[in-house]
Amino acid sequence: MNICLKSYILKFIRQNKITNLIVLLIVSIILLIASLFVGASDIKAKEILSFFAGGNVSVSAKSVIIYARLPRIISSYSCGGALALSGLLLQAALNNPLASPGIIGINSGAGFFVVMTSILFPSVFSAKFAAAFLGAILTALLVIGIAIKTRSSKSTIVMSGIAISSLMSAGINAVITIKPEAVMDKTGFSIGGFSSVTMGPIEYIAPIIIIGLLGAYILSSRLNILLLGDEVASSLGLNVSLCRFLTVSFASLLAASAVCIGGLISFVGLIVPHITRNIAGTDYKWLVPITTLTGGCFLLLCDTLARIIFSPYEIPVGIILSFLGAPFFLYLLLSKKRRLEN
Amino acid sequence: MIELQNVSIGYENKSIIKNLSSAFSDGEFTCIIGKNGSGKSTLLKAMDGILSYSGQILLDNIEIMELPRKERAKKISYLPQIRQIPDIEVQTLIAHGRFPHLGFSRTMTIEDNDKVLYAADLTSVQDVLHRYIRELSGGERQRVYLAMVIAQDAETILLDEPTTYMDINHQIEIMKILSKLNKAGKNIIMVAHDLPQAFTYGSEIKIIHNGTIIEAGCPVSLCRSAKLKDIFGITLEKSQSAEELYEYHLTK
Repeated sequence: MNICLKSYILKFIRQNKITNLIVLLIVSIILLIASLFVGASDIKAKEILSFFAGGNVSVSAKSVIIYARLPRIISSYSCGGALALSGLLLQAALNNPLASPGIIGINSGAGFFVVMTSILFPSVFSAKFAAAFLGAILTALLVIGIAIKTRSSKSTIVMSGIAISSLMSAGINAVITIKPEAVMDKTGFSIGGFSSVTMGPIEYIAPIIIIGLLGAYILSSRLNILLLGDEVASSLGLNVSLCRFLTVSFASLLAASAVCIGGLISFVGLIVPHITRNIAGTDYKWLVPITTLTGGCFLLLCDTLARIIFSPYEIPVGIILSFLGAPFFLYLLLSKKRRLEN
Repeated sequence: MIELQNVSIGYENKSIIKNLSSAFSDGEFTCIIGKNGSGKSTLLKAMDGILSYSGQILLDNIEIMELPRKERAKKISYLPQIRQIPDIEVQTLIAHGRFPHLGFSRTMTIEDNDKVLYAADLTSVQDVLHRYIRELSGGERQRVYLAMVIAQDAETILLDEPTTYMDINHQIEIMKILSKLNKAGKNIIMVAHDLPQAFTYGSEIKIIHNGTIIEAGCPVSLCRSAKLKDIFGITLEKSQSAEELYEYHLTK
């Protein structure tokens, strides 16, 4: 496509942010409804419509809708939003486009603490969530601490994140091997999946995700200032350290929420913010809601694909995300290298 | 007035500024000159409260670190030498200069918008307000950042080598804007690398060497200073011809 035309279209899309938001809301509603109608179980559309209209539905269809599809759809949408927003916040806080909760080890840190707590308090969900948040924030602070202490480059932050992520993943695998009962669905937890989700945890996590979203929105004008670099931001009166700490805390809260429900889902926090920056520019007041909605749509779409691609069998959504995310990560690395060479 | 009393700054076990005392009077266009690594930029950062220090830096007799961050930002603005090139529009960047003046909702008032337009007008970037910063030339970007600092509307403006890497026309353009700001009542404190430029536009020159100010005065009194000769190996002379670019030129 002609470069001028491409930049004109991009500019047009960026300038119509309210339209983007409305379109995303409509797409979200369409996807949420459409994904109810697809899945491994063969339920007729008429039965689903009848269920929501309060009509007579077979017991099996009713249980599939209530106990399988609804929790799965709601959890994948909310986790997608939470992870995408977490990635956006981390990229802003670390001023690093390669940062995401999966890559810098926040997900693995949260996951390790979750499996450890699952052994001690197997049925206390609040304990698991508290542990996930603690694991997420400790890992984030460890990676940032290494970065500050060594004054390392952006790539080094990512590499230390990958190293800590591997360490935490090894811890998770060790715990699961010794105590297999620590998680219900070992594969689903390790690579991310929603096949065994129930409504209970979602009801608990949903308000926390909303708190994270509100926190991110309140921070958005400060993140716009942080974009100018630490020295300019400080000179404009921003408490850079506090802003960064709060941003990382909200990112950890959001990632921990997603880990508690869907396990170690990777790449959503990396891919989605890159897409939304093209749609919404770099104004965080718009980026925060647009990224959340896009993340929800993205993960819901991927999970719906995971449910139907090998129907009647289902695969964990993490597999699809890895197929999409790994090449995307390489693309980012190579484009960064190209930019440096130029 | 900014007063520095026994200020020392160091990092990584290295002492950069050593027991420095000096005063920056109101209404002056002060140029800080010195060799690379003499502590010019470090001093400027400390004066903006970005770097921690021992000793005292007083702004109108109040220690700057005791001022709330936003209050400090309303009184002192700072333009670093190296800046990010964010993917935002020119108007948005200039409007960021109003950040310390905005309330919790960060809503811009009519007065804030007026200050943004005044800054854009003064730096002649009013025609590129809706363009992205990445699309601009180096000189235009510099003027846009300067506009942001002007929109901040602080009494004192600190600038770290604002004309580095710019072609001569853009350098003069920037210096004329700074001169205009100074005449409008702003205190300009600038780290300069171009001596004829500093001596032409500055009303006060401070020579910094090995982390301390070794000499200060007006350009006329300092142009043939022995310390200037010691440090740079040159002196300056007032130009005789009106055709010359600067009022001073370098001599051996």
